[in-house]
Amino acid sequence: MKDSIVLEREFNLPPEKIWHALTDAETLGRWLMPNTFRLEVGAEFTFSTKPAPGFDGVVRCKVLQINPQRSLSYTWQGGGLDTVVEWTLEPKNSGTLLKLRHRGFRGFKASLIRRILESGWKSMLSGEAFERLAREAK
Amino acid sequence: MKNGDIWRALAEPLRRQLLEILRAGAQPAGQLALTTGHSQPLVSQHLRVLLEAGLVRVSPQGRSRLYGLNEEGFRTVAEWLAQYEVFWSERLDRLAEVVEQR
Repeated sequence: MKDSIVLEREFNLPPEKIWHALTDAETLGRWLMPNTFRLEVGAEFTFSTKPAPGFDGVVRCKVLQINPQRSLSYTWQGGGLDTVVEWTLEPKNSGTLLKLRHRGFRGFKASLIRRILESGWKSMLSGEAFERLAREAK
Repeated sequence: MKNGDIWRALAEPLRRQLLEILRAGAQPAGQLALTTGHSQPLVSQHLRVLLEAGLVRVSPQGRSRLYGLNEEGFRTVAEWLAQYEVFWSERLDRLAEVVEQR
């Protein structure tokens, strides 16, 4: 099953311009979401948006890796999602090829919830099978 | 509610039992209390957790409130991927606008 979203965009601008838009909190807020981003490995930050059922409107993130003007990744958690966002910048002609990979959907708990709902979960109510699935989901 | 609360909501046996009962159709809290043999305040407390996790929704019917499963809360991975793909595609369009303005 597909686990990731992969998107690419080409820009007629050098990587440093794109890097700035990805890592400057104010600029990032203008195209993605208001945020508390800090360019520092291990930094915890949030994106804020409108709440929805099952989602408080806050995406909780932690910077995993920084390779200036080349790549950046952070965790992306919210509304039951526990995923990772990876950005890669490659110089191309006189511009930049930007790649986005948002991965980790396979572990998404909703798929498990669905399985439980669909599989006649009388037996799950006992707890044991449920706990086993819970461990599997981690 | 914080991240992972869908999961936490499901971790409690009575809440799973309530969801199981609601699969048959929406019901008022009082009926759920009778069916499960628990007090209405306790059942209401658990319903609130399920509501906040987006697994249950409530609709008014006359003077009472009916609790039912919230299908939105049970989206499949494929649906989430499709949703996020649209989200990112739109955001990248905005990114292009922002960087080209500068």
